Amino acid sequence: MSNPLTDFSNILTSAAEKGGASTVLVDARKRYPASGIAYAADLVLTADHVITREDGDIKVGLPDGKSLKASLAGRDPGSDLAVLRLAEKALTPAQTADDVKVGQLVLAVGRPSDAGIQASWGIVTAIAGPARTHRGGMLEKYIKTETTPYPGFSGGPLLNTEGEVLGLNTSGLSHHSSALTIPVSVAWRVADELAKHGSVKRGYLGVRTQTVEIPEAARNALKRDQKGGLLVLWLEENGPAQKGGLFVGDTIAAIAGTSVSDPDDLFAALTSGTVGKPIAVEVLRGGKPETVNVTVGERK
Amino acid sequence: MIRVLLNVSSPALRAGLRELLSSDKTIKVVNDSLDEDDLRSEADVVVTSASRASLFRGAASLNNATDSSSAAILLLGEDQPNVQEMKRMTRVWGILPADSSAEELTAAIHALSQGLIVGPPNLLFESESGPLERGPLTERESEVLALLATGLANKQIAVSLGISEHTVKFHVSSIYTKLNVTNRTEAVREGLRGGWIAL
Repeated sequence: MSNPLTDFSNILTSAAEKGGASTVLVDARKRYPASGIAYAADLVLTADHVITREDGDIKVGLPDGKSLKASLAGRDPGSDLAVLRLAEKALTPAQTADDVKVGQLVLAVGRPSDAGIQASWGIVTAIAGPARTHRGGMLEKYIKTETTPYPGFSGGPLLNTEGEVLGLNTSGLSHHSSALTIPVSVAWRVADELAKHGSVKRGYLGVRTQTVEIPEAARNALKRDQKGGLLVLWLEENGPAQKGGLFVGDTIAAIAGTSVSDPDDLFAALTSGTVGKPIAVEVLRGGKPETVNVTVGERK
Repeated sequence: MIRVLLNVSSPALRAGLRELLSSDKTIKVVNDSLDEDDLRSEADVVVTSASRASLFRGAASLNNATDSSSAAILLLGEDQPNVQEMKRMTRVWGILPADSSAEELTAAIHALSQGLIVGPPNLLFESESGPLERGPLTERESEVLALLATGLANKQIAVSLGISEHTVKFHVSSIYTKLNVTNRTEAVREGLRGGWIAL
């Protein structure tokens, strides 16, 4: 009869091994190196905050011990993600999994030294967002786990028990070096943009707003129980919102069908995917709901 | 009769002002020299010129030079000071652009002699539109705050604005003080809530 604990342990070791094959060492800062995930055969996804050295002095350590020079393909300080490019296709791209649940057993893996991978295990304690990070940027979604963020784990993967990548671990977005994980759904989209354009676009409407309470009559007119909205105080001259027909005094109640009652909701709604596209902005004008189509601009 | 003192350093400007005011028979230029104390204290309105940089110095010298409490001061600004600065200088009750017409100048002198406040509309309304757009922050601080909202580190903000990292730190700390916050997250939140960051 097999020992279930041994089986369990074997599952963890093979998951660490599989994920570890796509986990690299990123040497781009003073003192100790950090980790990175093989995003493509020649691209490494890592945490932005671990890159403090100039381009041209960045090295990536492969699982087989080889060390290659890398260049910075792009970085997004807001989400603490950066992509490095290698001159040759030397990596095994990581396999990813999208479904992550609270309570799920996970492994955090890093390669902060030439000695090999390091690992820590625990469960997913929370999935949350959008939230403002301590850097000031906005994170759409993040995963909190019980894993221990050892030094140099930033940039490394969070793995499920199959060894598939659920997200990228970083201690750069929260205080007191507590770590969080940027889920694949966010990290891979940002990585794609960084690899293609070198930066992440942000949507821009050209409005300044303040949160206001929506009066009951207007709430009834909206046909939903939404307590707050965003009163438009200022419109940029010829900005996207003004061109789209918004007026100072309108109260923005929803963007693309999602209600907004806090400026952070609006900030979160203006993702890179919205840039250049028309978006339905529901406003309360004179207490009555109206929908205005605004072509989202790009934040410079 | 309104007694006007011309407290301007340029002889040409002084002569020009004297000429402009001569058309109004109810205005009498009492003296345009800074040396004669007795006449100066009798002036109802003092006309002076000052640029923004020399404003405080100019105002201080005026306060020392004209100790009569009834003398209102009309200021010809080259670049205009804002209303807040005007209020700080207790005796400056009127501000006119340097290119004002003779009619505007005489009208302003009459108004000041009656105890009224004079200023161009764009100047007087600045106090309302200013805080609405930027809150208590300066233009530079607003720019720094907008970049904080995208999650940039001080070094990256410095590169983006073409200023030193040290200056960025100074602005960030000033933003914290003005918004009464202790970290970047709160600063951005306050900035968004107050409507000072454009989205």
